[in-house]
Amino acid sequence: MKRPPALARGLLRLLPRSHRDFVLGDLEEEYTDRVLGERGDLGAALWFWGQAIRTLGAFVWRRRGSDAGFVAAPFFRETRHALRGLRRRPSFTLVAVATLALGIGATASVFSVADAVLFRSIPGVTRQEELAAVEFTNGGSRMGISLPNLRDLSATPGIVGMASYQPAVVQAGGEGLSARTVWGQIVTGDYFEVLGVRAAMGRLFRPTDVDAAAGAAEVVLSDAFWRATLGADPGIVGGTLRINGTQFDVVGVVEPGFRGVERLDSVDLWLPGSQYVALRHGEGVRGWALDNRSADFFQQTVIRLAPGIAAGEAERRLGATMSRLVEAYPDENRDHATFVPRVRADVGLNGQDRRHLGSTLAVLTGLVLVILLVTCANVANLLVLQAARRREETAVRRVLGAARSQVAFLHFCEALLLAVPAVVLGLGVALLVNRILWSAGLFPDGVVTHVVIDARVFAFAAGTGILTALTFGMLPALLGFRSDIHSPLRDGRRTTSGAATLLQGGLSVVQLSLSLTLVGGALVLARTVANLARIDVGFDPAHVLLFSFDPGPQGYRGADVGRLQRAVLDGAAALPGIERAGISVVPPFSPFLLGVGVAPPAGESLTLLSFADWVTEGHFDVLGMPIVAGRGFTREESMPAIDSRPRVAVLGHSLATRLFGSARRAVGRTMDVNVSGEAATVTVVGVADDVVDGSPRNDQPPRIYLPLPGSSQTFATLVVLTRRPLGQVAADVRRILAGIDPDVPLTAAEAMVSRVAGATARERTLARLAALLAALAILLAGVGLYSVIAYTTAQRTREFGVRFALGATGLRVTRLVLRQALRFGIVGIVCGLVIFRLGTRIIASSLYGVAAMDVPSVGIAAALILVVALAASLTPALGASRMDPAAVLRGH
Amino acid sequence: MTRGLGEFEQLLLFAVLRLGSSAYGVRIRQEIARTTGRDVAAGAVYTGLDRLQSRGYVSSWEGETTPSRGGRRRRYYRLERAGALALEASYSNVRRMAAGTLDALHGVIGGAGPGADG
Repeated sequence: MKRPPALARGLLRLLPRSHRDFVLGDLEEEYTDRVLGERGDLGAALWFWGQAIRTLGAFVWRRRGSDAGFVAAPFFRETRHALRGLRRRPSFTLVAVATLALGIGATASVFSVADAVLFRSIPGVTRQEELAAVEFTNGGSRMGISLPNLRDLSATPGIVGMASYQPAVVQAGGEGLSARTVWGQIVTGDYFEVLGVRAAMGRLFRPTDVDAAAGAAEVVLSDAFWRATLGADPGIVGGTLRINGTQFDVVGVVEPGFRGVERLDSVDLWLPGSQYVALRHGEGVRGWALDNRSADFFQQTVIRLAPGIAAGEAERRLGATMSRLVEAYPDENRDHATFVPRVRADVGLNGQDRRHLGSTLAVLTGLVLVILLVTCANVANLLVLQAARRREETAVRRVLGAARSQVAFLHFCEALLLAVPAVVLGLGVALLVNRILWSAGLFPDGVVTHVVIDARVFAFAAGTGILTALTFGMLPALLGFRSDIHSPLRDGRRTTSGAATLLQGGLSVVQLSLSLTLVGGALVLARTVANLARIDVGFDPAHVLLFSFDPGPQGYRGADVGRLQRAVLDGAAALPGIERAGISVVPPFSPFLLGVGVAPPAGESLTLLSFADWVTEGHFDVLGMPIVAGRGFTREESMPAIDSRPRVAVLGHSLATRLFGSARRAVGRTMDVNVSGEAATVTVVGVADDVVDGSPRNDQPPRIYLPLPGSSQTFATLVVLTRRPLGQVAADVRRILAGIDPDVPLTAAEAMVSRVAGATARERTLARLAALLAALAILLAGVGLYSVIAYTTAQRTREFGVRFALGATGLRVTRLVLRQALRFGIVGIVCGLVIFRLGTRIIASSLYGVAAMDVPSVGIAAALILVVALAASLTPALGASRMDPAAVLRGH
Repeated sequence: MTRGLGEFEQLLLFAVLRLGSSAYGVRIRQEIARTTGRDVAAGAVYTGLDRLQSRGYVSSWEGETTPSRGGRRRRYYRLERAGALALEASYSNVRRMAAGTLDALHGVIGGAGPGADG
């Protein structure tokens, strides 16, 4: 016989014992005899749930006056009682809820990130639990795999399917789509089939088409790309897109949600592996062909396992197959003798991201656990304080027959009631903390766009709330067990042990000392940021805008690249409001550097590695880089030419000094350089001032500037000096590019000042995080100290009464309480200084222009701790000074 | 004990009276639902009956069980003399008040009232 939902039945067991049985019986009878037949399984279950909740509600909210003769279940009575208690003490309730919300919020924030990165199921994928990721390593380093090897490996027993993919940033354009850079993925033919991803429109790849060496140029779009970029064009299937200069037929759109198998992917479109060579225009794909067994291409591989096959077993079997393949094709697999497949059960995060994000997440998790623990301790302290204040009330209840367990239960109910609003508030805190984490740049954009505060995070926060409530509700409950009935009623002596007070005091000292450490750390980091902002970077970043473009993916090579760059430069120089313009391949504060070999100076034998930039005329002027001696490049020197070997060079000041003794002596001299294997002799025409690139703490590498046409790179950056806003000029530059070749997109537009600021992002992140943690720590320490002082003050009520009776003034009693707080503060400061001294080693490498043990910073932090200690004890101190000694001594 | 009975309490008492020896939770709820068309929450029935029992208007005892109840016993209710008196008093109040007004009442409902012109 079908029974009502077990959980709802369990809920009904909360009913008072006198009613439990027949009410449950009635509801179950009606459910079985009538409702199941009338409403079906689901309808009946819903009906039962509704009745269960409404019945419970009716018992909770029945009017107090009307329940004579009715013994309410302890749950309802204590809940009502606790609710009334909390309403009577709004400031306590507020502080406790806010403290808890901070702890829960911080935890929920980190969970929301971990969920997005590690736990969430991947949308669009079928039976994710059967999938596993395979990475091939060769002597420790990660390798790609060739399609023939992949096909043979996929025949391994226990493996249902095997698909590979490879990220590819490509340039897409077409009718109604201006050229842009998009996230592509190059995949094997059965990629979608293995993942179980379906098409929303059209079809997906056919394995035979894709894996044939001369496969069709087809593209599959993600739903998000189709909607956001193509305006949800219903006729897109059957149309074409131009991708890296080749026409691709749009054959389908995948179902909404799927953006690649990794959780952090945001793939716009998928391209068949057969098109790889076409997409790269033959560049860097020497010897690469889809049917070449020795070419290692596909970086990421996903397998679907047969039921009952675990990842470890699959790894063993794949390893065996790989060994057989090495034996069977000794020539082609010559380099694969030490290939080892590694199988991971989770396909949602690749190994690289796992290593990178794993440590950040681990540190954050540790941090929030500490915060949560301190939060719990503080709220427990507050509850103990409240319990002490209500000792008499509790004792009265005990005398009137309340069981010990009932009193303990009241504390649990109170803790739970505090946790409910704290969870809701905590979600708001989590949103805020997430925003700070994003602005701190702690996570890559891929993570940021995937994190949401949703039902899962809410469920987590609620779980944390209940768990913490149980944890901190335990302490007063335990104290409640220990307190005996009679002494509080008789004379109000202290009823808790000295050990408990010592524990609370110790906790306060720890919190105060941690606060000092964090405040001090935040201050020295803030000074570091200020110092870094004052650094002379060797050029003037103000009003400099940078626009990057790369015609390489469209097939441009050699002198064609130079001609396009020249056309862009001439177009930009003619724009209104542009004061100067130039082109540079690696402008200062680029994320990477390009090295060239420079012939050693007299007396040294080793080639000097120097960092090069290829620039046009105007570049030094745009950046305001002083030419110390000689001149910059002329227009003629930086014009595209058939023979692109450099003839002239401009040296950085330090390189010139190193090679020739001084800047003046360098001008006019010749030297040998070696650019990607090709040697050339150049004449030094000028010397430019050194730039500080990246972090000023690093040694600045020697620099050499060569005329732009000599660069073997296809990417370059237009640098302009203008007072016009970035967006406006970007639109103009985009128009210039489109006029030259509509398929070449503008890949980045940025102001130099934000690039320079970005170089100190790490320091600013640290400073901001430290400030945030310091504020949190101070707040918690304040609350913690307040509850300790208020608690001990309440314990000393009788002592103060006696002092008053003996003629002590209110001021004197106030001083007594303040002195106690001050003692806490001073011990906290001393401990904090020790911790700070020990911690200086950790942050010393992040500081600039300020000593780790910076006296003003530490002094301010110590002063702040004293202020917090005094502020926390002010209310209890004033309360003690205003007490009525007569009432106290009478025992009230 | 001079408080009158609410409408819901009257319905409960009449239902218990009608059902006689088979007045237990499920049947009481069904009786009210069948006669008035109101689907009353089970919880309201039990708390209402608790209230009436605390005033001595009904009494209750444990009865037998059936398989569909998962082995749990029924609780039967019976109208007590005090309950009958209270019900009689409050129902006759309504009846006396209603006497001679029913035609007028139906007139208002029938659409003859002011402002009801469509």
